[in-house]
Amino acid sequence: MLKRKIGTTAALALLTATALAACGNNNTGGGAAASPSAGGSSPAASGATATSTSGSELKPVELTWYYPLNQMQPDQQKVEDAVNKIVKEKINATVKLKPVALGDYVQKMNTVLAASETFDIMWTGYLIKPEELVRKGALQPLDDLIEQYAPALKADMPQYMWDGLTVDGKIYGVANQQINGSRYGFIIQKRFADKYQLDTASIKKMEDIEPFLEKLKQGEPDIIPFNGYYNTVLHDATYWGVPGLDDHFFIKSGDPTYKLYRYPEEELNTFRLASKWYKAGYIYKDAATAKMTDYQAKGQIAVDFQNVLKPGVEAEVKGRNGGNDVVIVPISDWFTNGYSATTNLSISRTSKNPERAMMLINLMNSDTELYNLISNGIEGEHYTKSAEGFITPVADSKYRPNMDFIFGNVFNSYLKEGQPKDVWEQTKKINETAELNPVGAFKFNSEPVVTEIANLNAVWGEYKKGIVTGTLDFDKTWPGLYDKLKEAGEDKYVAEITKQFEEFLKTSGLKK
Amino acid sequence: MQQARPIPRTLIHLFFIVLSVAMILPFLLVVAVSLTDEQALTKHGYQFIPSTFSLNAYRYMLDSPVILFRAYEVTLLVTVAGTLISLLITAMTAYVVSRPDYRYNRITTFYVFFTMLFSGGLVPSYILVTQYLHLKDSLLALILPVLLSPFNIMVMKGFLSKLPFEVIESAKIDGAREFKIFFRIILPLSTPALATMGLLIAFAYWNEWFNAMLYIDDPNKVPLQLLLVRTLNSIEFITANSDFAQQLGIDLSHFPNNSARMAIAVLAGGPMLIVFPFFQRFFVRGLTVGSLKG
Amino acid sequence: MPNKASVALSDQSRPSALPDAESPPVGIADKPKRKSAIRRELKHLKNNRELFLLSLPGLIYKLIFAYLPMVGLIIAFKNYRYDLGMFGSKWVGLDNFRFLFTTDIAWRITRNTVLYNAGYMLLTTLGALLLAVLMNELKAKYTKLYQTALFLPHFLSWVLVGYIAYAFLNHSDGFINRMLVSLGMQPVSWYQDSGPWPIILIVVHLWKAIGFTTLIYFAGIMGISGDYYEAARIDGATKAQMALKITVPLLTPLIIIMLILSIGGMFRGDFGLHYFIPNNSGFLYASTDVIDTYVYRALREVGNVSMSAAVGFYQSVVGFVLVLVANGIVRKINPDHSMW
Repeated sequence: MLKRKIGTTAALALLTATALAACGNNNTGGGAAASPSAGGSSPAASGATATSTSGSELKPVELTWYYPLNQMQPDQQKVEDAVNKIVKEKINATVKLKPVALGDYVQKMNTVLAASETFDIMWTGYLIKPEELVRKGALQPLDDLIEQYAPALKADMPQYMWDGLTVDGKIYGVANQQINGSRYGFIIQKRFADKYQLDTASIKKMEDIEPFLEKLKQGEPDIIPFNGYYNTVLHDATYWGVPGLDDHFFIKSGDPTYKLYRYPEEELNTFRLASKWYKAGYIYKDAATAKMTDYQAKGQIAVDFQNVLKPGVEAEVKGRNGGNDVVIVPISDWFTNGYSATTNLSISRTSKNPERAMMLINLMNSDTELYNLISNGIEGEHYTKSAEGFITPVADSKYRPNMDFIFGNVFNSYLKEGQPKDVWEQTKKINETAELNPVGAFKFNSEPVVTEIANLNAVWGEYKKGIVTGTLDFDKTWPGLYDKLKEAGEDKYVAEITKQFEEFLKTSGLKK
Repeated sequence: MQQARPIPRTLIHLFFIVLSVAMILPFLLVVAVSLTDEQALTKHGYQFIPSTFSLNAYRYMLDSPVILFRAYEVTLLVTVAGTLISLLITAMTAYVVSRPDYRYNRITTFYVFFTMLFSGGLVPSYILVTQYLHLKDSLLALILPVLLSPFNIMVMKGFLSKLPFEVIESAKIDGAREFKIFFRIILPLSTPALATMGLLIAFAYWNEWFNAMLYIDDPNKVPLQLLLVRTLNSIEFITANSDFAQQLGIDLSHFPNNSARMAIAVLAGGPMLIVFPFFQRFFVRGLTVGSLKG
Repeated sequence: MPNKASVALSDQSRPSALPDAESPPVGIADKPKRKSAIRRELKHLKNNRELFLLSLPGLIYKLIFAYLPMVGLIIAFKNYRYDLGMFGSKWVGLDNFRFLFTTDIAWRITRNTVLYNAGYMLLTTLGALLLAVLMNELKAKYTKLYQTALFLPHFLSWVLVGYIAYAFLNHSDGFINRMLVSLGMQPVSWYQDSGPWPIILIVVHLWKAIGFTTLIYFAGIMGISGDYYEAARIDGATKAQMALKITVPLLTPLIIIMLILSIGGMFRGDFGLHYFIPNNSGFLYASTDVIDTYVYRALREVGNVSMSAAVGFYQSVVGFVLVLVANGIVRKINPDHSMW
């Protein structure tokens, strides 16, 4: 046994030795690693910083920034070097860009965060919500940093956006401004709207499209009249959905008591409508399990229901409808839940240089040149700019991330060929005028009922598609489904939400 | 009985031919789809014979050949180095636990097998590799975490336990040391086992992308599978989260799709079809005890 | 060596001639005897040192890469917060395991997982053995060809196999429905009818996995010394007799190892197979849902490290118990075939 013990202790000793050596390396190594890349641009940069007042007093640091990209870019390094030239000059820092493939981002970041790896900036948003990361202790509060290093940005951004990033009274991100509002309605292939003389002005609510679907059913045997009803409507004439929950909590518009409604009849009626349409043959027989996008791409779906009918959407979805022209028929006005933290930059708890990270975030939102460099690449090499200021990517461009909203304020981006000249003005106007959900700022802390949420998600996962496509007869399914939801912890979940919602109403002053 | 032999053999062949066709058909479908024009795919669905032939999917994937070649290079290096080291240690460990006279064989077997059932999970391993071993962006991070699979050791043990024990005994009587017995007698005697193991290990290294996803940020060290899986994952992700894509205005038309998906599979799996026969050369019946003694 | 075959069939690797096997059981002795027991143990270690050294690299590797990270198992019992770390996070006992057992679904997913795995194990073993034995009858150049064909599916990821399955099964223009229609039959909504799915899943599993297992058994057969067959041939044995009396018995240790390895994974569902092939269709869960797909669905949005660690731990413990039982049974029947 002795030999074996020796082996074990030797191995352990070896391990701790390497660990220690490694730790020792970390401090010196970190600096050393930063210097060569800094050295590369330093002669030019130091000359520049000497004249710039802000840069000269700061010691050089290296920042690390994780963000998702749908495709890795061959010229990443080239653009990174160009970015660093500007960043070095402005804030005497270099930034190590770490793009992660979109499909891997959540898993990779959760691991990086769970392991408490040292880094500075990360993209947070729809996929990886800042509020959840905050509750796991991954991000740092930014209030003081914003106050000190980005006062102009603070003033420029609408207050509700900051509210949307506030968790337990502190701000945890800087929003990348873009369109922030929803408007739902139908996308209808123009050829059918024309053929059956659809009066688009007459369609005010879901049911109004029914006669048109019937005509399609009778007249177009190869066409699927209606795609299905996949997106929950979170605001209509009567109700506002409470955001960030499971889409089945509502309050009545204008109700001063803010009473919570769970599964109101009006919501269930939309499912009943789906069942009715399915039986009538308006929805494809296999809609719940077939890849409906394939049928759509073939131009076989006449009417689609969407919840973000933004300006210019007609051109965008034309290709997705087999190249057929479409008309859009909104059945709601623009509305918004406030800002639901869709796309932001946050600073890691493990950052060694949070103030410099904040300076970089500020720069990304204010420096048009820098922002367009990272979103579109180098002018002349990756894109060309016309006299009117529209940009077009060059053929086979080696840098074309096509995800402007990841990096900063989209309103600073150069107009792309084909975009209306006033697209940003239009969008800003929507953001300003959209009707605001009165309880949009509610943030639920799921921790006490995480078991129940997991089980409820599993139950809904089993039935959701069958219900929204009408494949399952709603009135027959619902009693059994409701029992299962009860068993999965529905009551406890509702009770917890009601409790937290009441607290929210009190603290936010909505209810005395 | 002697006369009956030729007939069963043809029957066996027939059986295997039918089976092989059944195995290959879906694969042929993959190749066919990868060579079909995308628009034809949306129109007619998957077909075994491309209605409109097109190399576009491959052109998309070969967009930047430098990156692809570098990825093949990385994968090749990792696969060769990883397989050699892994095979050696697997065989060593398996041999020892296969020796019935080794006093600690059962406890060692248990020690190894236990790690197949219980693992600390992703986060502790990530901490170990990045913060203690400092292997981020190192090719060792692709080799080490999957170096020694308990499954392989156990299977190898199964192979080795079939070796006649007299061989070892007589070598011991001749005064050979254990190292010599292992390297001079056991290894040459078990070429089919080593080849099989080598093949399985090589496939594992070839297909490995998850560790690369975690540990490799440097674009010059990305292995082939990660390069391909990344594209695949992103396509899957965007299709599964189309509302998200729409909300943020991700341009879907720019994305590779059905045919590219299949081209990815061909590019990733294809080279293995060359590797397979290489290992198969060693699938010969092990030397007989008699010939070894002589 | 005329009777070699029959010699081989008795256990050929009995260690009785070796000194170590004669040592008395340790641990029942009183004090002065224990001292000598330790000394004796040291002597044993000395006798075994060369083999021990051979296994040392593997042991150290496992220590570092498998046993050290096992401290992470603690996460399953904690409410893991990144800033508090593995040890600082709050201990919550068995709370993380609760979600798996609160609903009726626990029964459904456990039943499905175990039944499918048992079916896969049984059919793969029998099928692969048959294929390997048959292959052994053929000339090498043919076996290479067949082996390559059998192995091809191994290179396709489950995501892709899911697409291929969809091409076969989809309602409007899947190959199978087109065939049914051309034969004058009604098309089947495969993704909405849970009835045929156990068969579909088993077929797809066999299609993808059998080449791998066949290869292992084939290599096992290759390792059998030619002497045994030679002797049997002289004794006038038929092919079938040789397969049953030489090949299978000599493969038994390998078969048992393979079986015990799969028993260890009895509670782990094959996520890729059960998620991508049924296209994650809710209509099919009754017959396709396994522990891993359920957990994925439940935790996808919650993204809770502790709860997924808890599931993994639960699967490990059950697998471990099953393996201990299986190994115990094997040891009762034939100690030489047990794993430890």
